[in-house]
Amino acid sequence: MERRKFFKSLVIGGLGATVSPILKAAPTLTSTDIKPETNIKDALSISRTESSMPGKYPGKVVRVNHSLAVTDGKPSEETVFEMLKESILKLTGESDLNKAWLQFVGKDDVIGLKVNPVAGKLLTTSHAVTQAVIKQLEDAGIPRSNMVIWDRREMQLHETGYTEENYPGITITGTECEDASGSYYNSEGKLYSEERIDKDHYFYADVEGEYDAYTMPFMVNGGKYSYFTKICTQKVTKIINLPVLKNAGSSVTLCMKNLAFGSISNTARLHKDLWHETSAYVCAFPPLRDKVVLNIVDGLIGCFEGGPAANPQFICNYNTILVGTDPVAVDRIGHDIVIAKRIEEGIQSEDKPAALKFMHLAEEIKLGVANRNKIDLTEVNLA
Amino acid sequence: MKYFFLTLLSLLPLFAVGQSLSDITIEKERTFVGTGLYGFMNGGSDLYLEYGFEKLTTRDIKYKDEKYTIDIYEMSSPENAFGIYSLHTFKCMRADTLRFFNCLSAYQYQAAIGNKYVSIVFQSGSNKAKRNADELLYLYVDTLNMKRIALPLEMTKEIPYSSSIKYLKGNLSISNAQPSLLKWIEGISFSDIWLASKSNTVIIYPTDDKNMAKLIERIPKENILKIEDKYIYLKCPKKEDSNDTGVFGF
Repeated sequence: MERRKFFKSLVIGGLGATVSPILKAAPTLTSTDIKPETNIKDALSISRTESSMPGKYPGKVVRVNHSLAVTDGKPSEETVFEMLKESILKLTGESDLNKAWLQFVGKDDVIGLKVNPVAGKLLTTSHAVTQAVIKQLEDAGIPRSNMVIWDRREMQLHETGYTEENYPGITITGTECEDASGSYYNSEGKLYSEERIDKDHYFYADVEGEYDAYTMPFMVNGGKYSYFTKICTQKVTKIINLPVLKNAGSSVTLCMKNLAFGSISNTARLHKDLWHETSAYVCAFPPLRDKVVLNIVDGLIGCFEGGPAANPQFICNYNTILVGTDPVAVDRIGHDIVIAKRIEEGIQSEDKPAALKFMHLAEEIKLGVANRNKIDLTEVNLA
Repeated sequence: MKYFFLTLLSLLPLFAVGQSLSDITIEKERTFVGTGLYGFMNGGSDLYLEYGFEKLTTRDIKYKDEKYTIDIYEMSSPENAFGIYSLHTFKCMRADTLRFFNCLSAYQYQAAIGNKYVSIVFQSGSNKAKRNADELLYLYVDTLNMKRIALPLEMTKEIPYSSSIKYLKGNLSISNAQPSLLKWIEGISFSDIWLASKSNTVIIYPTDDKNMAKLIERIPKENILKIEDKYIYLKCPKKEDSNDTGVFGF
């Protein structure tokens, strides 16, 4: 693949930029009907566990709104704490917040907080949400040393303020990483990130990933295999998923996309023809399926166009958070919010059934509930 | 009151005299020239290059306790600067209040000034950051000696121009602004396209008579509003919703 062609579809992040220009490829990215083969059957043959998706509350989603969640451009930590508290209590039916959290995690768990910093400072998982989760976990008895903030690119975590200084005592790590001098390679010419992928756990798809030397640090490997990060397979025992409420074309990038594309290597090859399949199928593999206990969509500041990158003119304050154990149901509710905004703003005229495809695929493999009529949505307006 | 506010805005260059570049702390500054833009924004560069991108100076700065990223793109002509600007503006909170095209949104202030496209992004989105963005623009860009562009007469009906009028130079910009136009324009050689998004009308300047004839033959008669010597004024084909999943290949 030519570097130029690849760059057409490569995120601007990782190079320190925070704002993406609008860019749509001249031909629209429609997937073909004949799909490349994948190893989804391998995932489905592995027995499910008690904690497998969709978790404790299949089909249940709590949405909490607060009109002052974002004040003068900044999420309010106090308000967000209350919004999260209300969400967790409503989801679990508990009256005690600590007990509610302990439905999902134990004191010996190593908890991965999967944030989404890929669009840069403007549109990252907000620190208000992440700090609220950490505070409530701590109150429930989870030590900070058992918490890990992670994403694909360690560099982007740092750029967006996920630093040791801001999160003392918490491990901050990514699959793709560089050293202090900005090099992705060690003295032997090997990518540091190669040590961070687990070749025992992979998503196979019959699509070749070919990258030049410039691009490889962001993909880790080429070929037909996408390996899971060791953060998922070895480091953490539970995952709390913290995506941002964003569009991806006329679909959305929320819980499943954040997990799937954030947990494996060699992903660029999967965007064109397997976007929906990857978003659903990767979540069916045990490192995600059996470890994700909670999804909290940060909808304080989100976007309705230009996503998943940050195009400032399309960023808006949704002033909401969505919580559920079922990533499919949460995505379905988030989808409705984003599409309603797109229609209101004149970006599209109606919802498109094709945009829901990954949710339906996920429902077929029992990861959650995609049928809107079967989702139990509780909505709370705090102010 | 509105006029008073506008008058105040027009005096901003004078107020800015009281400020100076020394009030700014530059945290990071980089310059990219020509195709070197790939080193800054990867695939996004193609769109800028279609508009004759020449040079970008990007700075992360601190000004009056707020953080900003100010990007100044130098394009090959004022039309091209307006073109790339026009593709980045959408429902401005405040638009075209000054001597040049400008658009304020919640987290960004943009302007097309002569051959420069300027983007000022403020991470906080605070009201203070928005106010200061005007000052920053005057500190970094000469707004007094700029070359102006003349919009075609048919494009002057939709005010403000910012976020409504788009200037397109090639397939990438067309696919961003009005993808349904591609089926008409495919294989046609043209120099400029002006699009009025509210009325959904477009002016196309084919490069020669042959391409003009080809275009006229291709377009349904009911869509043709006017044919002039150098251009054709049309009602756009029905806007098609895209059905993709965004462009974010990693």
